[in-house]
Amino acid sequence: MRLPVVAPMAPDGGGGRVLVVDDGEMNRRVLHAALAREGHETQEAANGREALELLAHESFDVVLLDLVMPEMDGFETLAAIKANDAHRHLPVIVISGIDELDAAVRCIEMGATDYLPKPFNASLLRARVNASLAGKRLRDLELEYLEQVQHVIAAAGALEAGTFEPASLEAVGARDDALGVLARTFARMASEVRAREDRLRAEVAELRIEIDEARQARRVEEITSSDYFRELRDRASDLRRIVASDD
Amino acid sequence: MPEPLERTALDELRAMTGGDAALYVELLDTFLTDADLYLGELRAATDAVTLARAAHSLKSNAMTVGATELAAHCRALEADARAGDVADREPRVEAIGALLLVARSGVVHERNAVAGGGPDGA
Repeated sequence: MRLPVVAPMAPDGGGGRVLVVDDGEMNRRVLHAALAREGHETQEAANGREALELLAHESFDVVLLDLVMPEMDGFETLAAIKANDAHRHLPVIVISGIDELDAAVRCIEMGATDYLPKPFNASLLRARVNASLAGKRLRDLELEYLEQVQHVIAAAGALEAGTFEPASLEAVGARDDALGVLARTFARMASEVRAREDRLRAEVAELRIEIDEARQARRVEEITSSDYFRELRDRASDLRRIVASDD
Repeated sequence: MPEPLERTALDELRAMTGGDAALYVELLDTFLTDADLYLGELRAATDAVTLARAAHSLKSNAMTVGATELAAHCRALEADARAGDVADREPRVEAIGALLLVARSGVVHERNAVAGGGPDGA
């Protein structure tokens, strides 16, 4: 029988994708139900191996990780997550019984974000998942910001190399913060510089044409004012007269 | 009838479902199914690791439905199994089986009361 998804109550920023890792079906069902009510989407894994398989192919915002599991337990799974560059910063909340606090502490020392005691408490679950989600979103925003700063730096390099394309800053320029203002200003000034360069290039080309024309006129003048040219012109006139008299 | 389960644990479990009675009943049914499975694993365990894991799982589910005495026995067996001290495994597993029967009756009572058929499922 499928679990119904009750009307979601999404936290600020919307629901997240939560990976629930627990070998106990009852625990997975309880967590799925409570998280679905909060507007989160869940995927379930019955052990660490299944969890790592899912992490390799799908994107998650938070992992809820039980410690005692067959095949691959929570400690091994946590160590594998933290050893992977792609998942190192993924928040992991370990699930532990109230008699397993030492294990939870060890997990936090290994890089877990928090722990959730069993039996579950709806308010605590909501608070811990939402706090982890907020932390992850803040980090995602910081990473996106740094990536966009890199775009502006790359644009400056491209401008110097003469390969700048204004479209390369469109995404950064769409931001409504100081970085967006910087990107828009940079793109506008770069466009102005390029327009000025184009104008100068056109003017130089025009000047070249004028210079060429003047040079040509001078050459014509030199030729037509020479004695040799005058002699040729007189001979041509004589020939035209002879031809005319023969007719 | 005596109350074999802690009311606060059941209320917390129900709160996790957001008051969804059908889902609550489903979770109680899952307890009944899984508990038998874990008891079977306890009885069949031939090594301390398997014994500890089954005791851990049954303990976790017992705590969820408020079967505190069952959870306490499972917790003790899990700890001893991890320490390799399970010479008296059989009588302890049977004690857990007896406590599970009590817990089961409480869970059945609860699920039938919520399912609308009355405590006896009538």
